[in-house]
Amino acid sequence: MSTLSDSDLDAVYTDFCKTMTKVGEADGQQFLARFALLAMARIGDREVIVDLIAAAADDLATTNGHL
Amino acid sequence: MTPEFAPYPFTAKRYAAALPPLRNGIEEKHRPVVVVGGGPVGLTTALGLANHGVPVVLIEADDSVCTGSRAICISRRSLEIMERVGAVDGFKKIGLPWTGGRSYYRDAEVLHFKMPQDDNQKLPPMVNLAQYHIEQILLDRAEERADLIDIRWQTKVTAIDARDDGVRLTLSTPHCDYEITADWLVAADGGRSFVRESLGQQLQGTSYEGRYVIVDILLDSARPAERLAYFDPPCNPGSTVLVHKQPDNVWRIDYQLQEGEDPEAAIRPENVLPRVASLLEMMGETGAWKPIWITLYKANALTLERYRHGRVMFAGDAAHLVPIFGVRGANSGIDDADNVAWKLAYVTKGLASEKLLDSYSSERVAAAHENLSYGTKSTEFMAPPSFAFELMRKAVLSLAFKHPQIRALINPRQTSAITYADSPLNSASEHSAAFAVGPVPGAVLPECPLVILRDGKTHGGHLTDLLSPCFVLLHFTDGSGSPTAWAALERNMLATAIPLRIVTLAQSENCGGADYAAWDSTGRLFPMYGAVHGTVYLVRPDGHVLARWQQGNPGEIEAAIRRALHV
Ligand SMILES: Cc1cc2nc3c(=O)[nH]c(=O)nc-3n(C[C@H](O)[C@H](O)[C@H](O)COP(=O)(O)OP(=O)(O)OC[C@H]3O[C@@H](n4cnc5c(N)ncnc54)[C@H](O)[C@@H]3O)c2cc1C
Repeated sequence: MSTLSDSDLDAVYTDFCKTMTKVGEADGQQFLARFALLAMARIGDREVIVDLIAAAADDLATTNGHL
Repeated sequence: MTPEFAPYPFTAKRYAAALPPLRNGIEEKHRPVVVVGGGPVGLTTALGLANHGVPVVLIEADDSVCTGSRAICISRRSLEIMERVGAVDGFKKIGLPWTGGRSYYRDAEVLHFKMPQDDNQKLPPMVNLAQYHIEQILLDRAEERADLIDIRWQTKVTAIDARDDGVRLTLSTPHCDYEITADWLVAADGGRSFVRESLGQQLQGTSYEGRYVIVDILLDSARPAERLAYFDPPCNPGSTVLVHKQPDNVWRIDYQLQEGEDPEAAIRPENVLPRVASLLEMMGETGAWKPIWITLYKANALTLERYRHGRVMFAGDAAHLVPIFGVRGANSGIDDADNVAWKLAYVTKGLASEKLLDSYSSERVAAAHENLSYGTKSTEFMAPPSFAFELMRKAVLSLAFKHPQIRALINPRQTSAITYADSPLNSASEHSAAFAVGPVPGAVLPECPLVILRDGKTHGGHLTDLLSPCFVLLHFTDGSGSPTAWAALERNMLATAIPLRIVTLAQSENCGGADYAAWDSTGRLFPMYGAVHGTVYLVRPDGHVLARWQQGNPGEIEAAIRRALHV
């Protein structure tokens, strides 16, 4: 169960976006990849991670358009 | 072919310029307070001052209320303020109440949010009405207070001399120029404030690059009033669109300019109207429609560092510019007006030291920072300022349908009442800390229905009905004991000319013989305020809590009031 409140989520989301902005577009992918790896190590539960990988990939074929 | 535009379904009254009696080009009468700007903030300030019996001259460059697309969403907190200045009826009559909204990503609904609303409330969380309505309602009310409010139409401030002991303004009218002198000036002259510039003050903060096209259209539709947000909609892929219903079949449509789009070209009807048409088609709106007004908007998150500069108080857009997302512009300005009005009134009447006015600045600057931080977050979502915000927003929107935990990030963070947690006026914090629930010092009063007994008559009402333009003491009781100690306090304060109204809040119909009382008919009031027999909440003239005691005594209450007023 998540213990992250709505306002916590809000705050870390903004922090994340700002940090990625500073890292720059060229290294943005690398930043996301590193964050994903660190998150895997911290989550420490293989089943959860497998679920998250599936959820993250879900629907991407259809969200690949504009925006 | 030029497309046919419809006018706004509103005819503004025009007002003539008038001159006061002059002597050598100077207004004969010296004034305690002059307000510059007859927008929502200047008008509310004037009404607030009049509520305290303070005469005010209001200077307005124009000859009528505003036109065009500006504020449309007025919050519950603003309505509470309107109620206290006697203007809420117009808002209730004209405004469209609403309680929530929906956000869509492509064709799926990804968020249905609700603003706080339950059967304790007297007023809706939000009403929609055009800013010309807002101003006309306030103006009509101001005209009823013509004994105290003197409006100078078509009169422009062209120079200001601000000194330690007062101000001198040069005013330009179609007839002639003249000067006016006053003890205090409230600068509510809007985002391009002339007063701010003359005093060499600058707004600080962030200006955003992302631009929005704002379109008002005339469309007859039975669709209910709620906030609609469309991200990447099928009708206009890649764009973000907001839709709001206003009274009289006017609809507000805001959409984000695409990257690289030329702003000049983007607001030409031939580019705007097809987008509106495809949006309406997607929404299933088949009725005939006409454009009324098209304009461009760019978000700013800016504020002055201080709102008091000697004898000059800045309020509203003159003091801060808040992004439209979250609808905090006019609403926060109305809060400024409510705050500055009672403090200036107390100072001009000699009931408070002018130090009280420093708390106007500190409280409202803190509020602006809170408003700006929410407004900034909304803007970062509605108009992503970098590739990272854009990328993350797409992730949020595409995951929100299946993962409810993520939906909160789409919430538009609509304006809500602000607590002056760090106000220098707050008192008796150690007593407040003993409460587990209820409004803390600096907070506004949570609403609750109750039955009011006054002068032998009873009627259903709400807690905020008990407020009036003075300090109010809410005294909770089980009906036992006598109100004499409190009556003595009331008399004491009256002797110092600081009016205090004591209202008994009883647990049952037995109000212990008080002549102004209310009883907790739903049984919800006492638990909501953490109150027991003997509990006291001391409330400021603007409805914010000053201090609270589980067991209050008259001496501490008098001291808290004197401390706040520095007397
Ligand atoms: C598209 C748009 C949508 C918005 N939506 C919302 C919303 O939904 N909710 C919300 O709360 N806010 C909203 N806002 C913000 C809101 O419109 C402003 O915050 C609000 O108008 C500020 O009021 P004000 O009285 O401070 O200033 P203004 O309304 O700008 O009034 C200033 C007045 O001062 C007068 N004046 C200026 N200079 C002089 C001078 N030298 N001498 C004499 N008079 C002078 C002007 O004529 C004017 O009447 C929106 C704004 C825009 C642009």
